This record gives sequence, C-alpha cells and structure tokens, in this order.
Amino acid sequence: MLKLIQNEWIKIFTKISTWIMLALVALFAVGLTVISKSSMTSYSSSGYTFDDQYYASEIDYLNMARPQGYEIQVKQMEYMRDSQITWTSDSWQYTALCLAFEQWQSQIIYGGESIDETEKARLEEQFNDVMAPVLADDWESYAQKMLANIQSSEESDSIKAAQAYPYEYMLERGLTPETCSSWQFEGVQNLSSAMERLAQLKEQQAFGGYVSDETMAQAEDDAALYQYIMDHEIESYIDKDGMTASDYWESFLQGASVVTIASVVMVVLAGGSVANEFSSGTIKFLLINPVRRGKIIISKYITLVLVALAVIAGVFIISGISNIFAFGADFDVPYLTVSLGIVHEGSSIIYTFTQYLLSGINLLAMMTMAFMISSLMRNAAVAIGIGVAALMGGSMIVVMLAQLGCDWGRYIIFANMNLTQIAQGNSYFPNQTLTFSIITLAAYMVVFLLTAYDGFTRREV
Amino acid sequence: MENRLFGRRVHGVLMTAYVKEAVMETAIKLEGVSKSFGKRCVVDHIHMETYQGEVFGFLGPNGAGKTTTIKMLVGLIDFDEGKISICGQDIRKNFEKAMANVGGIVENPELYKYMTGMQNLRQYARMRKGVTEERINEVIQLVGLSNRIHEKVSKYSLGMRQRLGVAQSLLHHPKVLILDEPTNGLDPAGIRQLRDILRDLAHREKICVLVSSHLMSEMQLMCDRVGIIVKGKLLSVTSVDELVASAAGMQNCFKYHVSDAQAAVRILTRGCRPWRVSAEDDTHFEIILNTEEVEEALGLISKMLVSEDILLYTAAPKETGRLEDAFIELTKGDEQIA
Repeated sequence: MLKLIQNEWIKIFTKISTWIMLALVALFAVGLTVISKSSMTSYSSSGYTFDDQYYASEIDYLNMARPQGYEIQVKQMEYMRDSQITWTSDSWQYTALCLAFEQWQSQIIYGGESIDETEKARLEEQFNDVMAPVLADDWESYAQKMLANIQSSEESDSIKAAQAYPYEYMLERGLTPETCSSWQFEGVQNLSSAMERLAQLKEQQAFGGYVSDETMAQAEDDAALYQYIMDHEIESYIDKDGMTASDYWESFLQGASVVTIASVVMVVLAGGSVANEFSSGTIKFLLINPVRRGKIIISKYITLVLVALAVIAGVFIISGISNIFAFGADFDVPYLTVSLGIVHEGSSIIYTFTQYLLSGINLLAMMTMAFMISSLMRNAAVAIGIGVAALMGGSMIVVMLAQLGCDWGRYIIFANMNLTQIAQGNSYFPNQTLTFSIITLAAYMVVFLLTAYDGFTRREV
Repeated sequence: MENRLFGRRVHGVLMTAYVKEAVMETAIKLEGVSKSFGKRCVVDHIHMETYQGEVFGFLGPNGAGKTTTIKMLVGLIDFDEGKISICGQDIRKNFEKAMANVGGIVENPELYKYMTGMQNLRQYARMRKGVTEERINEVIQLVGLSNRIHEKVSKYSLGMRQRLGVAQSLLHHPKVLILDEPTNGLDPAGIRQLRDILRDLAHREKICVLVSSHLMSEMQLMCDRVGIIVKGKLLSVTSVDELVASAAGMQNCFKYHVSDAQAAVRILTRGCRPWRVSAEDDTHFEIILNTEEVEEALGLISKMLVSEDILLYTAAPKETGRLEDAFIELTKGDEQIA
C-alpha cells in the first residue's frame, strides 16, 4: 500500500503541470502578503488635524441637517474652534474633550427644566476645571482631576474602582498617553470598561434586575481576559474570533484564503487522477499488476489527501515566511481564549494552522467530488469542470436558496462547508447547527468515496 | 542469422513434442468461459489449456474475441460464466496470487509519457514483489533499451514503447506472459529479436507465452501451438506443424481448364493413380497429387487427356499452403466482422 501511494505521489510530482500550478499558488500566497502590506500601511494614519474650514463646514452642515443630538456637536465644534486646539483626532486630549462634553455639557444642554442656573454654572465650572489641564497638555493633572471627580461621584465603590483604574495605573507608573505604548493605553481602557460593565451587571442583579447567565458570563470573561493581558503585559494577542492587533498575524491569518486557490489545483489533480489513466490507456498496465483494484483506488485517494495537506502546509509556510519579510517576525503573540473566567494561552502558530486546515474543508469536499466524477465518468475534463464550477458557484446557489427561504437548501453540501462561520452562528439557514453541518458533510463524503470505489472496482476496462 | 533461426524452428518442433509428452504443467486454464456485452455473445464457452514452456498463439479475425479473452485472463474485465485459473490459482478467488504469475501487454503499450522509461519500470517494479534493481537492468538489457532508458517515453517510437512494454511485463519473472499483438510497430529486426526472446523464454525458462497476432507468418515462426477463435468460439487447437501440414496438402494442387471436365475426371479416376480429382464445373477441375514426383505425374495427366481428345487450355498450380491459408480455410465464410 505504501508503495502504491509512493507511485501515485511520483505520478503527480513528475508532471510539470503540477509544479506550474503549485508555483501559481505560491505566487498568490506571496502576492496576498504584498497586498495586505500595502493596504495596512496606508491605513495606519495618525488621525486628522482640525482646521477652521473643517469647523465651518461641519457647523453649517449640522445646523442645516439637524440630526438628533446636533446641538452638543455644534457646541463642541465651536469650543474647539475658539480654543484654537492643535491636537489630532487620535490624541488623548481629543478623547478627554469628548468625554468632558458627554459628562458635563450634555447635562447643560439637554438637562432642560431639572437643571437650574446655579447647577448649570457649577457644571460649566467643573467642565472648565477639567479642560484646563487638557488645553495645557498636562496629562497628570488631568488624571488627578478625573480621579477626584470619580471619587466624588455617587456611584458604588466597585464602579468607582473600575473608572479610576486607567488613571491610577498610568499615574502609578508615571506614564502619559504620549509615553506609554498603545497596547497599555488600550488595555487599561478595555479593562476599565469591562470591569465597569461587570460591576453594573452585578449591581443590577443585586437590586433584583434580571441578568441572563450568558451576559454575566460574557462580562466576567471579558474582565478576566483584559485583566490577564494587563497582568502579563501582553502587547497583542489573537482573540477567539481570530481578531488581532498584530499586523503580522492579521496578514498571516488572511493568507488562509489562498487555500481556496489551492483547492482549484487539488480539483484538477483529483479530476485527472483516475480519468487520465483511462485517457492515456495506462489503466491497463496499472490493473494488470497483482494488486486489487480496491487498493489502487484507495491509495490514489490517500495520496490526494496527503498532497492536499502538503499544499496547505506549503501555503502556510510560504505565507508565514513572506509575512516575516513584510511585517517582521512577531512571534510573542499568544492566542487567548477564556472559558468560565479562566484565560487559556495557546500557540498562535497552531491556531493559525488550524484556520488554514479549516479552510481546507471546502478543498477536501470538492476534491473528493472531482475524484468521484473522475472515477465514474473517466473523463478528466468533466470532473475538473464540475469541480471548479462547484467551487465557484456552490455558495452562490446556497445564498440564493437561503434568500428564497428554501429550508432544504441546508442539505446541500455547499451550505455546510464554512464550519468556522457556522460554529459562530453565522449559518445560511436557521436550523443549521455545527453538528448538523458536520454530519451532512460526513454523509456526502461517504457517498462520494463509496461511489468512487464502486465505479473503479466494478467497471470493465 | 537466418540459419540460426531455421535451427530454432527445428528446435521448436522438438521442444513442442517434449513439452506435450513430458512436462505438461498447466499455465492457463479456461473452463467454459463466456462473456456477453449486452445481448452479443463475444466469448462463447471457451475451454482451453496452455502449458509452461510453450508459445501459444491466439489467432482469429478482427472482432473474434481474442482481446476480450486476454482481458478476461488478466482481470481487466469480468466474465459471465466459467472459471479461469492461472498456475492453479482461480483469478476470481485469488486475484493477487494468480496475477503474481502474469506479465503482459494488452492492446497498445501505453505508458506514462511524462516519465522516463526507467521511471515507468520503477512504477511497475513497486507494484510487484521481489523486483531488484539488477533485475530491472537485466530486463532493459534484454529488450535492448539500455541506451535510451533515461529518456522520456513521449520521445519513444512505437517500437521502443513496445520494447518497454515487454520489459515491464518480464520484471517479476512471470510464469505466464500474455502479449496482445506484441510485434505491432516493431521493425523487421525488432520482430526477429522479440521472437527470439519469446521462444527463448518459453523453452529455456519454461514460461508459457500467450501471443495474439494477426500476422500469420509471425505466428508460424513464433508459436508452438495455435488456437483459432472465430465468433467467440474456439474452433481448434493444434500444433503449428500439424496446421501447416494440413495446409500443405494443397501444395501439389493444380487447377485445369479443359474442353470437357467431366470426361477428364472420368479418365483420370480410372485405375489406381497417385492423385485425387474433383470437377468444379464443365470446363474446370482440380487435382491434388499425392506424390513427390510432381513433373512425372503432370506429364502422365497431359498424356491421358490428349489420348482421349480432351483439349487442355491451361493448367496452373494453386497458391501454396501456409498457416495463413490454413487460417483462412478454417475461418472462411466469415467475411463479416462478427
């Protein structure tokens, strides 16, 4: 059996056409890296600066269109124009300004009858008090002021602690938004809001409000995750949905789409696997050997699966290496998942490879289908044609059926290929669970393989 | 070369006698094998046995069922009825064991064109047991491909592919060698070489070689026995020498054109003469001489005709008999492809 597989492997790899196709796949993998490199650099702008023309056009627009809540926006624009600020939109000062407007000015503007003039004046004073260090670009005193505000508020202690956390963290370490790294700045904000949300939910529950277990668990997990990140000083990580702040890993994960192109190659190889033996007449020499036909067809399929794995691994390696050249090696990025409030640190390489393999499910299914047609019809062109058409048009048909509300569409193989999406609940059809999809896929594969086996072992040559 | 060949021929006849009397080890055995494609019966209850150490020729007009029978022998197609065994192994029950004894070429020698000759041989070597690197080289040497074995098969001529096909079939020391039209595409020198190889394999290594061919003269030189198959039925299995001998009866056959054939036949059948006469129509008759002294007999016939005032217009010898004639004789009346 091993020797048969070796034979099939040699047959595939002595053909020049195979190497040409593989070279194209490699080219796609490198090309995708280059594209994501160029697109990511163009996105990494450092916010925009505000100028008088910007204020004028914005204010005009707001006054004319009057969208909901336009009054406060107009006031903010006017304030910025009058203060002659020089910050950009992604500076801490701008964030502080927005926060201050939300906290105090909104009460002044929308408070209505409940707020009298003295109250208004008090709020205005507080606002100016907080904004003073901001306008002076003095982060430390701004933080002190914010802390004092938080302490004097009427919130519970846990919420106060959550709100105070970012300022305390930064002050303790003598950091300012300019000097601290972006992961720290983002991390403290995230942790603070996660803690605040958790505290709010707990309070709500304590007062007899209904909080679903799911919401609570989610909030706990978030808080645990951000706490873990701050404790272990993790600059960037891959989350459970495959999102990451690391350019390297983002681009590397995107490379999994090259596997789709590799599936065209595998469909071509599978479509020719049996059919080419017939069209070239070599089937007679193949079958005249003291080897059962069943063994021959099985070794052909095993070889194709091995080649597919090798191709996926190849795409993975090429993508990984070309991304090192594009973004630099960034291997200290863990894959973090949380369950029941406990954070698990996993290997990002293994996670990424799993993503590549999952994109290979589509490949495997279409390859098996082409293999079946090849064995049944003995015509490489038909097998490859149907295989490629299914690869391209399969999901289109499913989307159409889903839009027409034909529930039976979920039994079509193409509806069940994107297991990652289905696991996240993004299936085409309402009754499509992960288990359903896996069973349907498995059933299709069994049918494909049995048909291929039967077609090959029983037909006369 | 010609002398050697002639010598081999004689040797072959002797070997045939030897094989039949002494060894008689069955190589291929077909028992009532039948095959239909739809309603058309292609192979009809064939019983046949071939022995190790002989070259067996499979003869038949196009569409007679030769290739179908060969395909059934090597397991390319299934048969409806009967039993086939190779070296005692039933090919249905023990396919792998039975086929371990078989090497062959069915129809054309189609090989992997994108590989070299050597790579092709290695493919087949891996599928069979006990093929060493030395054996591969030995076989290449045997078929005379040593110089070009590392070239891609796409650059080979038909003759070279045929040689590679034969090499492939010999790799694993098969006890039975089945070759469908092996001389196809070979030049005369190649045909002779192949013939020598096959006869040598059969007689020295005690391989049973089953050959089908439409070149009758080839069969005559190559085979010890021939089986003639027509419309799916095996008409006869005879040694080549017997077949040729029966055809040789026609060697001294003459056709006469005379004024009165009936009278001539009457005269010529009088008394005890070394010939047989038969009238064809009013003016033509045939005569078969049973004597070596042909001129003497012909002179006597002329005298007898003249003495009875029968005018002799022409007298011509009929075509000499070879296996081809015997074959056509046996299969005549079947001009339509079955």
